[in-house]
Amino acid sequence: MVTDKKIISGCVEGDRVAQRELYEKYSPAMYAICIRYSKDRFEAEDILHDTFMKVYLNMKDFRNEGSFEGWIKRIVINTALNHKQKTKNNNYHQNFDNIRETEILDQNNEHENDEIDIEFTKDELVNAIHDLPCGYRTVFNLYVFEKFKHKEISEKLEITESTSKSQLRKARILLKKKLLNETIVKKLAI
Amino acid sequence: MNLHDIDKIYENGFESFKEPPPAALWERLDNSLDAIATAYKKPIAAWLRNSFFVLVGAIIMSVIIYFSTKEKYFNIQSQNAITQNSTQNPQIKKTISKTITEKEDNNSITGQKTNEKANSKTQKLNNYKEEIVEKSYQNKVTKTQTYNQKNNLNITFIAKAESKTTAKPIVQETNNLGMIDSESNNKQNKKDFFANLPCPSRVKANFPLLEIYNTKLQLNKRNEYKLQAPTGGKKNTHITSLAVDLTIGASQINNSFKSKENFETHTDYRKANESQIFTPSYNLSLKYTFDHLSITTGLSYANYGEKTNYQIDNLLYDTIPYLLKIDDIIWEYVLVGYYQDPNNSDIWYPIVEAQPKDTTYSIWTERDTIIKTINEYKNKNSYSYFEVPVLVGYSINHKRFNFELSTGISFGFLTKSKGYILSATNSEIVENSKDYLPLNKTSLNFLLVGGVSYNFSKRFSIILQPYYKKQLTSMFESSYPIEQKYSSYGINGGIRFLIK
Repeated sequence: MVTDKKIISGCVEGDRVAQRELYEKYSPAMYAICIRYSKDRFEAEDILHDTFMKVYLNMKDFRNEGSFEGWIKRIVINTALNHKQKTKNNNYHQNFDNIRETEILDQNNEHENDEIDIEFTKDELVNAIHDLPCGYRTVFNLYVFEKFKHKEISEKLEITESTSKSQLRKARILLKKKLLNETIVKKLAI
Repeated sequence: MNLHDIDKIYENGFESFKEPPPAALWERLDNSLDAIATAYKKPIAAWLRNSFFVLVGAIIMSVIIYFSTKEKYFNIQSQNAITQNSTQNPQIKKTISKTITEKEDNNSITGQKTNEKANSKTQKLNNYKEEIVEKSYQNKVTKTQTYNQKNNLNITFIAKAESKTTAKPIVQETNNLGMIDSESNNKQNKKDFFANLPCPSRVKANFPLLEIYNTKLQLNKRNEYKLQAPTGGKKNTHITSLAVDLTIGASQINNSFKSKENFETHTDYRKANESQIFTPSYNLSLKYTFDHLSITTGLSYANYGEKTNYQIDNLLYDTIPYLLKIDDIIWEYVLVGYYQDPNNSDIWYPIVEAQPKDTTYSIWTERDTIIKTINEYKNKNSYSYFEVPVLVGYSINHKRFNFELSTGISFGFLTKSKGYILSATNSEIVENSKDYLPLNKTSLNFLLVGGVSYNFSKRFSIILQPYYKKQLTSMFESSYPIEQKYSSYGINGGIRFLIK
């Protein structure tokens, strides 16, 4: 098993074999993060591509002071956030469509106390998060997975804290609706 | 299920989530890495290529100038060589030694001091050497005359004066040789000069005789002649030289802006978001020195530019409709379309309509805000010029060192530009090329160049030249509202080849 140190030194020298090894080792975990931040797998591939290019080109800046995986992960997240800005116009319409569903969801408060006894598959979870508007998805990811506080999110995305809270709430509402629909479908199937 | 359960479901669901990306993605990365590798190689190749061309150009130019000027000027060194050869001849040496001994004996009678004797001895030795050279020369002339007469040779030769401006040919059309031995350039002496030629000959001398004062024709086996300045002859009162400098250096580039109209926002923004860069420069120059004064010209390849870090705000208005309660009536704002900001194509405003709604919907007490995103444009701009400097300078020598200060102008020709800059309206990033910007194809620069050189051999010196350069003309044509000028200071280092 080749160590990270050897892989890193190989990548710094531009060794393609080392670059491939690095990719093989870390791409599955990083691709999973990309999937969470993107609207589909195509976008996730773009983000992962850009991430690894940044990693290869900036490898010499890694100082071996912290976790290498953590360093790549930070690059993934930053790349995903930058990617979000690039594709902002496409998200415009999507936001609106989803918000219409929010109103419907608010009326369906009867599901509030339902016990969830069905486990969701990865695809179901991924599909639900992909359907979120870009801004909601970003805030949800940063809050739930990266454990950012609203203040940190607001600074990172340059939005107000209240917007961050609002978008997180709306993200949860939309995800809940999606997952409840899945639950209903499954129950009916049973 | 309450809302916070969603967080747990996702945290648990994604806890160990990994998914291999499609195989094609590595191929895409592989191609991108190849493209990057090629792009990184290019600047190195450009450096090598430019250096190679400059070097080859310098060598060719040096060789051409050297050979084209070699025959035009007096070769003082060769006369010294004659002297040395003469003294190396055992017969001549013997004669010199004998003569000196005789003279010394005479001097010893006078009873002068030892130091005076030594000085006198050196002086006399030089005089005797000259006599020997003279005799040797006359012998050669006689031998050649005999040879030429015997072989009925009609010899034509060209002798040239010391400087280029006074270089005029002397043509001798007989098979005899002439010895130029005039004392001055007045008409009488000129007449005497021709009259005193050792044999019948017709010589056409169109140059001032002073220029060839006390010079001699030296003969070689191929019947070619050069004018020689003999040892002890009157020296030229002016020192001239011609040299080629080949230097490579680095400079720091500064950018200055001036808004012609009300574009101060643009210039202020660029000042705050652009930083200086270091660029290489390659120079080949030809320097003619007349006593302490010099004139320099040549060819330089210089780069200007800056690093940019623009952050362009994109304001995205949240399109989420919201509910508003006014006088107990719930109004719903519904999105009916979009409106593009006519001044900024990146901004879209939602068009909403207010519709009264009798509903028990929960009211959102906060209105979604404008989402501001920032696009970063990090980039390095570059403008490449070929420049022709014309400088006048003053130099002084101290032992093997030469110190000089020159000033003048240079004419620049824009050859290449790349990068991106902020448009004058601050609304977009535009490509830094003639297609998108009214770039001036030429430039005029002020130059101030210092220099110190160390002469480590007869013809080669190491030189170091700090310099300051400022553009006098704007980078952009006069129609553009921004006036942009670069200034740079740096240092060049290289070698100087003394042609003459």
